[in-house]
Amino acid sequence: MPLFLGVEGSANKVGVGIVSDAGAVLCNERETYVPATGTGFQPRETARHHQRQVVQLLQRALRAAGVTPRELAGVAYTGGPGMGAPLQSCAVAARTFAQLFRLPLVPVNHCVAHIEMGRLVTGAVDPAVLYVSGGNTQVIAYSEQRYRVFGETIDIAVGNCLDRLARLLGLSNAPSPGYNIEQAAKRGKRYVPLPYCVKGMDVSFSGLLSYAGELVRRVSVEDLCYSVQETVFAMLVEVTERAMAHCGYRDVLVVGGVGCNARLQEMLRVMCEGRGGRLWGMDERYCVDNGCMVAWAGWLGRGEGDGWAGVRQRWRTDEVVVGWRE
Amino acid sequence: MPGENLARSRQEEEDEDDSTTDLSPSRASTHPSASLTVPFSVIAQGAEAVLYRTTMFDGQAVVIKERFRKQYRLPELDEQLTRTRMTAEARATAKAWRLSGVHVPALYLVDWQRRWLVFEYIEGPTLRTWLEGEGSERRARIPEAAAPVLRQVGEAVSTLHAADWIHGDLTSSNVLIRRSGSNDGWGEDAHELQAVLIDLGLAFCSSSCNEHHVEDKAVDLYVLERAFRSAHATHADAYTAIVWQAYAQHSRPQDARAVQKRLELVRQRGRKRTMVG
Repeated sequence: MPLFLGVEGSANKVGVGIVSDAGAVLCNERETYVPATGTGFQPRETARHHQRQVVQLLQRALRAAGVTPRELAGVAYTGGPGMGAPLQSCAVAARTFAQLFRLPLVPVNHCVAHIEMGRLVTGAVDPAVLYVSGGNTQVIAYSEQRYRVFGETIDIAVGNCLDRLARLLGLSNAPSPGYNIEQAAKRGKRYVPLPYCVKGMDVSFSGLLSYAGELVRRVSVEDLCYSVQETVFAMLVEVTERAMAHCGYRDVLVVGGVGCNARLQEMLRVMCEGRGGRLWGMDERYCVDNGCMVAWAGWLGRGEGDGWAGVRQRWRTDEVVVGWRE
Repeated sequence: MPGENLARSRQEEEDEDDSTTDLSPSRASTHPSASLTVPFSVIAQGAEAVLYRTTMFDGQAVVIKERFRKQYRLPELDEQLTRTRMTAEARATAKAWRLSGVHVPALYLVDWQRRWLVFEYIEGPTLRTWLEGEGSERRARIPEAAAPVLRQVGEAVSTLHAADWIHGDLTSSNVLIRRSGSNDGWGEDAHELQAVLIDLGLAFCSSSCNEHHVEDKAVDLYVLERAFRSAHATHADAYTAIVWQAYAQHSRPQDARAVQKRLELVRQRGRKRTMVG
């Protein structure tokens, strides 16, 4: 049974996972860099965190899976997109590991890894995909060997918008800013109207964030979290539905860190059920960045490489040729 | 609201259906603003609205565009968005209707309570299905045969732009083809056909004092170009060229030049950016 190991480190999480060729998850180890309240994660500090953690994570993963490096069929790592320094740190670790044990090395596109892991975990065959995280906001559908982007943010990602709102409100970054916003929003009662910006299938969040910043002193933390969530999630559901109507999809798969927000999942579920379809969602183990998704995408794309083993900060989802789907 | 039942029971996407269905809005016959003679039939079902065909005003064929309630979002937000969009669509349609050379369906009625815009019914296929050809073999219409209609689209968009209006969602599904003469077929004699722009829900005014107005116009044309490429791959470039040529000839030379320059920039970045992380 061939086993693949994956190393992820494109943002503030560093993760190592091992999966089998049949898609069984043997282990899923992760460490998160949590910056002080009121600040975000900077590339240099994040990279230093990953460098300190990656070796013991590799050891932990092998121990948890009960395998030795010699039993692996290959190593995958996140080649991009992401923050340069953290990506580079994990690529160095993956390259070293591969050379030490003479294993094939596969660079993986982070976005494609999220989608493939989502399909594996949920069993969704051909859904429309909403990919929402701290760095990405895209509505994706598969056609002719590519994951095509139908709509996306034209400025900041939705997760970035939420992270920065948490900073403005002085909410903690532990375990994650989005989680703390979600908890505060549950206690919110009053809806404050905020800018709603949908352009065709694209969305924009920067104006809403500036406006929310103006309201910080005048609106309670709970009400502001509630209003921001309701507004930005409604925008996301609307563009997702528009893409579905355009391409004839009934089901949605939601991936990425923001995808584990229960309110977003609920809204997507209501929308899908109204269209006679269903929502495929996951919990934080596989929604949030993890090593397994990289391992799985590495296994799927093992034959596609051209020997390149670097990192790319910018690497669009629709640039990857998806050779493993019919 | 009739929309609440609809949102749950709708199944048939974009279904051309002339038969009466049980989806007809309830309480319709008691509505004070018009003497409604049911049957209603659903013509199309989009992401935002459902379209019904019925008759009002002593037998006049009309289309009702109902922006049904979205169950997933807060009622306050839903109310606010629907109001804004209905206003925008009604305003843009009314403005465009007054421009000579632009054909849009006449707007008959705005009903806030029912979330209805009632338009004149336009008999005919969408540009999309018309370009795909008819009959069993369904061969894409060759550019020469489609040219008279495509030129009308180019000229209409040019007129709209000259009046500082941007359609906002120009696709081949948002243009209807109506017979204006007396010939019986939809096919060969395309000179008798008239292009009618519909769905101005995303239309907006972008005056020349606005620094973005050239960009807005270029993006408007780019959206159409992309729609051609995704739905009519074989002749997309030829179709685009015909529309553009008519647009350029019909616009003031300096305006056409500015838009063309901008359009090249828009094409390069594809209106999309390269994403990080």
